[in-house]
Amino acid sequence: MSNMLSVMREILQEMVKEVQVMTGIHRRAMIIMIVVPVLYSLLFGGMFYQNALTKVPVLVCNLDDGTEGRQFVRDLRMISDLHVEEVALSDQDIAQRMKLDTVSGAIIIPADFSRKLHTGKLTTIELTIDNSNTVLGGTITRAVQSLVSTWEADHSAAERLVLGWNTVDASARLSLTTRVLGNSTGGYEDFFLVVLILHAAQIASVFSLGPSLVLERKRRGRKLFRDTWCCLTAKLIVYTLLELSVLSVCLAISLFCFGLTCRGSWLEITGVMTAYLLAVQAFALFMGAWVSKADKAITYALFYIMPSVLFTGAIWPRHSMDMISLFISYVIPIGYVANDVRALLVLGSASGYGLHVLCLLIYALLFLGLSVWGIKKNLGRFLYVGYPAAGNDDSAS
Amino acid sequence: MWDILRREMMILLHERRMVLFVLMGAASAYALLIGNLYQGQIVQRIPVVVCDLDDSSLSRQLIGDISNADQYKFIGTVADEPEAMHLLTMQKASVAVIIPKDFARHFQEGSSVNLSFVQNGSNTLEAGYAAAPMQLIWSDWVVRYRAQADIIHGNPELSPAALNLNLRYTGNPVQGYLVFYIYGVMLMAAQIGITMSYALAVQTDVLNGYYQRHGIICVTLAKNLLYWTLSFSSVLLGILVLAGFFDLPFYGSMLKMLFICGIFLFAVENIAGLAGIYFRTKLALVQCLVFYALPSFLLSGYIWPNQGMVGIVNWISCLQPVHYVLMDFRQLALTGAGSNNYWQNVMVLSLIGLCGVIVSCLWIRYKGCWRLRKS
Repeated sequence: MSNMLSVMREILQEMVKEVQVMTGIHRRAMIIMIVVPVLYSLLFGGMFYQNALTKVPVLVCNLDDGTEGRQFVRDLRMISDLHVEEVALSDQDIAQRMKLDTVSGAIIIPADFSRKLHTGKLTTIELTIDNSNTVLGGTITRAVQSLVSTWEADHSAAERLVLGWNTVDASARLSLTTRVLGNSTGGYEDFFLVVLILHAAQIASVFSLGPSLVLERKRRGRKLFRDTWCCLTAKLIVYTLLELSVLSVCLAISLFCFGLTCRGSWLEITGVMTAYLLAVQAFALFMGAWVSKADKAITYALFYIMPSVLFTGAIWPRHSMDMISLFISYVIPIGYVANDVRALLVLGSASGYGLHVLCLLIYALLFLGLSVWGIKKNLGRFLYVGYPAAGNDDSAS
Repeated sequence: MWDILRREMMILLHERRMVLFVLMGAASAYALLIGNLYQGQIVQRIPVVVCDLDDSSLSRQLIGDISNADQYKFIGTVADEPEAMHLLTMQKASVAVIIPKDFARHFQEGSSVNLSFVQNGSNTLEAGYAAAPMQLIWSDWVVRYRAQADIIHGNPELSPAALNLNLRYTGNPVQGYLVFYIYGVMLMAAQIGITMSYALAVQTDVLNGYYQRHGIICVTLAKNLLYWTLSFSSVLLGILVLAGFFDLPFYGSMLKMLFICGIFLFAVENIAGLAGIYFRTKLALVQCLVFYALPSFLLSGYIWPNQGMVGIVNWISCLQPVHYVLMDFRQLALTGAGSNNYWQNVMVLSLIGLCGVIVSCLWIRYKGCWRLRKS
């Protein structure tokens, strides 16, 4: 018990020293860890601020002279998602304009549109979509499909009324009501922003804490070698607390400025974020403990960090991944947190939450252990044999 | 010139092997990694649960149609709505279809019936893909429903629908995420490679006065040429990976695609050169470059289009070289034609590159003079 207390006391003393070191020689690392997530949150939050696409340009070629064709164009103009430009072009010209211009879709209303609608015959509207950008293509498809469904139902009912059906029977329909839980508008803020903020936190941590440890091996080599566990644990706690505060500020900015939804408990969100940050900081320490030069802590981690956000399962769902991608998604710490934090925010609950926190804590311990081993191994050679341990990069942290 | 090139190559091979790997391999490595992730093109095996409150033979037919949909993974039926909602909120299912009580009776009488389609909307991408198969099933059932109602009312000759929508997709007909995403990822990886390697090369030689000793213009040209050639080869390798492994289309003129890629690499190379001159330490330089990579991709307008961005963000988007290449490259690859702005984009990128070269040379010269005066 007394041993435990003395270790705790030692770690606390180290934490106080670590704060001094952080605000002193690791000033830049600290600034990066604060500025990068906040800046990314502002940039990405600003990018998705409108939350949905509006005024997507479409061409409308109305070949019909009747009233129905004109009314259909008027209805299209009323849809805020679309920016309608009426043109009188042939099919080939429209295809050419779609290739060359910035229009993403073209609607052709056939010449006999009004006549067929009035005589109860089936008529077809042609919609061509340039789906190179599926976000734009999806917006046009949804808008036009919805308008066509309404028109179809109204005209079918009118047709049946003419044939003598009663009003209730004529307007009876098999409808499909869509209800979306969580992010009902399908907005990108709720879908993407929190995932990017978590990614920003890992970028800032790994690319600043890792290199700063490499430099510190050179400056405080003996101390680090002697009290490796205490020093690294103190470092881990101090930087985790710092990044947790930054992450909380980023979420607060997103909630108040960008309208991010929050239905979950703050305690659970903070819990999973803390476990995630512990794992990320431990990974950063692991990089810093094993590489020889500060910039290598960045270049080696680059291949893992940058694409990791795509493998979280929060963008491309896990059930649609192949075995290799699925394996990667479970190897990376962000894979245990992105989906959970978003689910907690937009749905109010996350399945597998406890297990994921546990996995992240195991990651943190594993990487911390590897970091201690790395420091002992590298500094041992340096201190007792005389090999250079922390590279020859004399740049300041 | 040859000596400078040889020295640069030696440095890359002996001192910056990792940087050389990023320069040469990042484009194809990212293409392989992300290409493998999205090789299914669309989200598949979407877990769907059906809440059958009717329990009739007709409702079972509908369940059969839902379970047979290619994109769905049918996880079963539940007896009540709260259970379906629980599965949705616990993310065990992504979609729940609720068949109402008396579904079969209303269907056969021709009176209104309402099917409910409830989605877990936390993942917008999955929600979008999940809606499509249900829409198709529903359209099919609407035709059956209308035909049934017409027979009841003695008008079997009535057309089951008044208005039809004929949808045709160009560019990306299957709405695949792979083709939407991968061209940009490959080019972004090439950008990371060339910026990092070129900036480090410039920084080291500015600090040790190599430019002054061997002629600023000569060294700048040699470095530009070497790194551009290596990076361009890595893009070619990336294109080969995309075409060979994932069978991705390149409908447009390959010459135009490679031309805009080449100009883009020239532009980002020289912007990175400026960063190399500005930063005094290797670490600060590398950090700056990696922190720039993610926002530059997301803000380029490649994924989230510029018309959905607010003023200032749109403005920031236009400041980046990637904004002028990614959309054109994808457009050329998928539809065979670049945008109207193709040549304008080429001009902008060329201008950025040329300004970068000129400013770099002047800046290095100024730094050299200043160091001389100081010494």
